[in-house]
Amino acid sequence: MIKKELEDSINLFLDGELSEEESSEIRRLIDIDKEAKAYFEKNRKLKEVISDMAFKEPGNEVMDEYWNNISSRLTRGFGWTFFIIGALANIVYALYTFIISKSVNPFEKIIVFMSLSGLLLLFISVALQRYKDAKTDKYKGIIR
Amino acid sequence: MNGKPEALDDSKAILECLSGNTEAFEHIVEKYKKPAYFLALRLTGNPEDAHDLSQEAFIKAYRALKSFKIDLDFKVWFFQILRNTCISHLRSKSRRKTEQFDDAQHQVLDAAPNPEDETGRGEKKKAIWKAINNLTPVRKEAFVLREFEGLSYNEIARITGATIEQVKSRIHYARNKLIEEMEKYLK
Repeated sequence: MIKKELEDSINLFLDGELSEEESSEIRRLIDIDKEAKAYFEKNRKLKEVISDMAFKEPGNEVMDEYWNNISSRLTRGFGWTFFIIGALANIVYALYTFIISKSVNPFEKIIVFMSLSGLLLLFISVALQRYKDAKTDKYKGIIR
Repeated sequence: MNGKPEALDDSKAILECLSGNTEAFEHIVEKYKKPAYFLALRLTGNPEDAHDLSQEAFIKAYRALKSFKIDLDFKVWFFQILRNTCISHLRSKSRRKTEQFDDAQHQVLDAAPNPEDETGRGEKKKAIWKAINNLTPVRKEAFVLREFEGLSYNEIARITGATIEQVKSRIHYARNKLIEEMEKYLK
């Protein structure tokens, strides 16, 4: 068996990805082939150290509050969605009622329309500027 | 887990959740919160990010629950969401700055002092963790999913969207690289 193939088979053997028959063949090869044995031993030692590696447990308070945090984040998400839909619907409805209202004279309608259009344009302009700045800001990686 | 049966399996919990009992999702979160946290920690190397991203993955999973095929393994499906969440976080982070492996990354290892650590075992673990973090992201994730999460090649392929041959080659390469770098520790 060539080196690469042999290493592949040893890796699959170590990961339990071989059939019983194939595993026996690899075990036999490890017993008779020095190179195979050396490679197997290094991998075995690596696995041993890794299986012994422990990661810091998160604090109890973090895990105790885990579900509560998810639950509130979920609720908050729904809250924002409802709020935005509701607010947009309100604005559209208010504008529609204002536009079709016969009690408001056309001049008043024009000034309100101009004010709102100006506000919208300013908002779009600032948003675009912020977006462009964020793309080219060389200090954005600095944590404040 | 107030008043919920411990033995409630994933499919039952998901079906309950889909039929409107949102509290059944708590069962899933309780069962997978630690594996999720640790996978995110191993992929990102940062406890705060791990905490935040694992929670975000649960929220995404909850919202996508309707698309989950009940005969599939929930853990694999959820780990796929978590892995994608971590990868996009790491991508946006690397766009912002080049991260260097530093001492802070060692903080994720539980370095409880014991006699073995005094004889260099702790040092060995730190060196291996550093070497794992120096692997390319795709090799690191395949290696982490195999060695720390104990997943099969088939499961890793499903989570990462790679072929089994790619998974095999990534794990193989990662091991050879680690052995090469850790030669002195593995004698």
